[in-house]
Amino acid sequence: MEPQQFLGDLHVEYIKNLFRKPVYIEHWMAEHLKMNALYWGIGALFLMHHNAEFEKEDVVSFILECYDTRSGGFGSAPRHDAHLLSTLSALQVLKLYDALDAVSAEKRSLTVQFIKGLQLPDGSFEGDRFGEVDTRFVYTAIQSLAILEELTPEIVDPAVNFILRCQNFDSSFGMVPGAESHSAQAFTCLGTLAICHALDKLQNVETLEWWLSDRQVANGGLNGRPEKLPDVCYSWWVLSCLGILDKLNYVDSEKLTHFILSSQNSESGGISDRAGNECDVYHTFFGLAGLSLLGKENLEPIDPIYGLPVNVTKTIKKYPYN
Amino acid sequence: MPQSEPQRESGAFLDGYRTEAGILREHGTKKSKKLSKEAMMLRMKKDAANIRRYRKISDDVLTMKENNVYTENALKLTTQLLDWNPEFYSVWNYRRDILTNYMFVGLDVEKKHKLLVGELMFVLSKLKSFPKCYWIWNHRKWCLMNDERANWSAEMQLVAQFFEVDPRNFHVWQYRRFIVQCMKDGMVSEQGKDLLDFEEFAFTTKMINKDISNFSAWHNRSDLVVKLFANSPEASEEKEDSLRKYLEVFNRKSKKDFLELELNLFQNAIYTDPDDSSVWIYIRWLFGDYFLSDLSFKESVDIINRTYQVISELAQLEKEDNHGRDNQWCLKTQVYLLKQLYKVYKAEGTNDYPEDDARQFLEKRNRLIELDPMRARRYTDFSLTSK
Ligand SMILES: [Zn+2]
Repeated sequence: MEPQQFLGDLHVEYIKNLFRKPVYIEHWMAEHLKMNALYWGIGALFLMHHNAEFEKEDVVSFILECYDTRSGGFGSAPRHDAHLLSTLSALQVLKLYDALDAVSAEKRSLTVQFIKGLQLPDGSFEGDRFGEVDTRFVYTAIQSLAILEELTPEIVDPAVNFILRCQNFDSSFGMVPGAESHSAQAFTCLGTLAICHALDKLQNVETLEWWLSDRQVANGGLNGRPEKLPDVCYSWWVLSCLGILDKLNYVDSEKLTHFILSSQNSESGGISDRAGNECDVYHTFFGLAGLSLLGKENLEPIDPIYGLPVNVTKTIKKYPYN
Repeated sequence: MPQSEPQRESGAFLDGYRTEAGILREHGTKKSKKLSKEAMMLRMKKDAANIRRYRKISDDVLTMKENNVYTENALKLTTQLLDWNPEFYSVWNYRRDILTNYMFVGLDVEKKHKLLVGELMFVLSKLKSFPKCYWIWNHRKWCLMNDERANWSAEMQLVAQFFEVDPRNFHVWQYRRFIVQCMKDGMVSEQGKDLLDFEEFAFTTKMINKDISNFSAWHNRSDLVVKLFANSPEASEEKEDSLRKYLEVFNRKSKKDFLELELNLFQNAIYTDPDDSSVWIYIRWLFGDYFLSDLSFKESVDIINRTYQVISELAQLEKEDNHGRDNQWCLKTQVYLLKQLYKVYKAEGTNDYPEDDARQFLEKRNRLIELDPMRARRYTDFSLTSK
């Protein structure tokens, strides 16, 4: 029987369990995702108002251990190389705990240099010094700088131009100019434009809104691209875009809620990509984030631009700074 | 020493991940049976040795990395570790540093090429098991960017093999575009570059004819069409009749004639599978501003009306086949075309937009609200004048 009640208590337990001592080989092999997992896990707890499940000092000291002194960014685990993806997660979690001050002024300015140094002449960002370019990295760089309140027109203007070049014939966005649209990339592009106060530059908005709302399939779930299966994580990628465009009512929120709730694991907690599949913290967080955007289950309201609770993002100074 | 009350073990927090709790699973992983206590103990015991080995080699590699050890032995260890866990991006990074700072040193172009061919083989073996891993594709690109003798046609063959397995893997499509770009970068003649784009365009036709619901192919087609119109390649002695027609159209930069050719293609596609969204999305683009802005008022009105007619006929057939149920994609495209037609009249500055079309628009839009209640709100917001 698929659950139809929200199983919040089980999800809290599920996430707490996640960060206990590892026993299986897969746990060790997932270290390259640890910092992201921390953001998903703690983000989920904060959405469920369980802000005190972990000791702030433990979390902060773990994050500081992941600081990569060679580059100035944060790695995904201690001794791993810095990357923009893990750097944003680190800053997001620090922001959740209002602990940005734990990073010394010197380190912080190196982090800013690290991020800015990854921008290429066309406005895009590489994820680290090895040249992979993706709109995900533009978003992670821009949100990181937003959290640090270090955005400047020299960074923002070319980034916005790059994002606009990634819009496709279907009005949605891909990972680089010319790459097929995907709703997770659409989120990174709209999120970037929103943080950069540049949504007014967006073209073909109505077609984009149609593309986004067409992601909802008959069972209420959302998919990432046309003719693909629905998946709980798109409850965030698609819905956040509609939230940014102020068009949440372009999909059926009751049907989507039903889809997310049926993907819960009623024994051990957690949410999976769809009913009957194995859970993970990634889908647990994005399922909860989707429910939060829909205003369900008394969850903390989440900001569709930042993926952080609204009560946290309201403390971020908004660009352009005056 | 007396044992004091249990302290929080320093560093224990986030030491890893426990039991069934996963981080990010392969999408669509079926739920497994909950393990019994005995089974769990057995598995932990079995894993313990592997964990020791894995941690040992990770530790060794990370320590060598921290000490800037660039040797053949270090490279071998990264091979072992990546073989085990190709998602370990820091190790790919280290591997590139070893290659750059040690293995490449003193090699001439030919020897470097040989070395990188071996590296590509290792990468391929990993890609076969992890065709959606960003880090591996990225490493492959890095290898090719560092090889002055890179064999692009071999890479195109590799892409073809991956398409056999999954013709919609967007990593593979992206990789193909990357290879094409590299090939173009190595060409002197502009005509050669344009013809390569045209070959790619022809390839999308082939993929679409194989499977009209391959959205990735429709997408790539749209991207190439814009490039081909911008560069208008010189017509060459293209043998195949249908392809020659397209080449001429790009050469003459005639968007109108292009639409005429595409009308055939999409007519065929929508009759093959009227419920597949891919082609409908493409049609929407064909009647967007990119094309219509190049057509005269008369041309626009003419081709929109003819297309509307084609879709109306299909809509009628669909309705008969489905016990009176309307096909939603037909309706959605019809209201879109009627709205585009309205824009064309507006741009011409006339108020002659047929009243019957305005009525049809409302009628079909209201029908959509009934048929597709999940998206009712977007239809009520959708009018001839909404932007
Ligand atoms: Zn997913």
